[in-house]
Amino acid sequence: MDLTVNSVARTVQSPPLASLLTVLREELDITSPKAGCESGSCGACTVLIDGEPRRSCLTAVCAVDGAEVTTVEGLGTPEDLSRVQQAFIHHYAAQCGFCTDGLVVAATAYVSAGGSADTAAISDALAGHYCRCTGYVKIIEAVAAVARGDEFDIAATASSANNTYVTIAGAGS
Amino acid sequence: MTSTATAGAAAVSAPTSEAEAVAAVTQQPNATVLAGGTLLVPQHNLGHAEIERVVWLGRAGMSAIVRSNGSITVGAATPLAKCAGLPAPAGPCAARIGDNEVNAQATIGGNVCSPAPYGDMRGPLLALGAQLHWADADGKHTGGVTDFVAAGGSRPGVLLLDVAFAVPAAGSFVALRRHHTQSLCALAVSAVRGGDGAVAIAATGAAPDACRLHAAEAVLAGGGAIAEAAAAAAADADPYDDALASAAYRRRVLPVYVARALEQIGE
Ligand code: FES
Ligand code: FES
Repeated sequence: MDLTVNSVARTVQSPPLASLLTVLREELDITSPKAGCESGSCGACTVLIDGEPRRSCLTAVCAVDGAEVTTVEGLGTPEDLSRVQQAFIHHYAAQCGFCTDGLVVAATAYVSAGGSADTAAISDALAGHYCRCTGYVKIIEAVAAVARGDEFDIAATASSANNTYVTIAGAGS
Repeated sequence: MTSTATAGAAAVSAPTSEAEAVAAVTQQPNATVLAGGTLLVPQHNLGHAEIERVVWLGRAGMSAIVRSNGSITVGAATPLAKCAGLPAPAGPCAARIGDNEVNAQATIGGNVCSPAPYGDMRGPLLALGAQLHWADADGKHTGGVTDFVAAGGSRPGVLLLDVAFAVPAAGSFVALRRHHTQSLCALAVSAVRGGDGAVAIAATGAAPDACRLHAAEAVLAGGGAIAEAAAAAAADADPYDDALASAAYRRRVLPVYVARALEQIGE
């Protein structure tokens, strides 16, 4: 099966019913999508498939043959973060980071589709994502800031908080 | 048709039309249908389902919603998100199944084929008097939700093709939403007033499978009030305990929701 992952053409050998999550993490070593529940409940495994947010744990890899898959690794780099990533840092929307990759992906789809800064609309769009740390307020503030077109001075955020923030950009495994 | 076979793994075929899909599902032994995959893929990957042969519907079409002469036909592989615009009770039910990402991927056919706590669409389709079309090794069949379930519609070798129903004069859908149950539905009531004025009521979660509430319908047909119809709903219910709700709670909430559903269709 052939898919494009983060703009790179990949041929995968996993069995056809293997989940896209397993293929990304184990065969392609792309570890930003997290195996939270592996049954569609938590959102940590969310990736973009042809631009739409989908649960990679529920998606058979045979069903994405020929598709374009985007993970956090394809959204920005530590040196050149996407606006959603910048907003998550600026608004302290990540704590342990386990939910963050799925949320960044879903929020990216939301703002790309022209989603508004309305708190209720953002809550609806991100409803399928569980975060056990932040209480969601900071996440919603971050997404609203992107939707409003705010600018983020990440260097200032880092120095003011004396923070080692860049780890969330690359997301550990 | 394209196919992928991997040693030691399920063989997958990807038919490119409904006719090819029918042939692939009904003529191969133990062919399991894969549509959105939101239930099948985790079951398989967590080791709960042994699957030998898969027919994936992603390229077979079967995902159109066709409206003509007052009736609507929905292809079995239509994503639930696309069904959200259907008339009540079908549309509002489809819209609330699963989180956004799941709702966009899961299909109406997959939902109808899945027992409780899934199978949310069975209640609305029962109330709408929907006709289901399916194929198996004996040919094509037509019947209601109950006939499809009784015929073992979700077993390997059976392919649900579409569901069709007449646009109702009025419809309503009232569902229990509880935090911490994901979007799994403990109890929902669907009510429909048909073109002839007759009212049909169905529930999911009031019995182990979705059911019509005939006794409540009979009260209304006899000129009874909503409160009497709601009180009669228990006659067709068989409340049960599960992780979502206790039998006692279901018994308590059912008449409340029957009354609300009837009020919403202006009874
Ligand atoms: S791991 Fe996929 S939704 Fe939780
Ligand atoms: S930051 Fe820890 S789960 Fe969301």
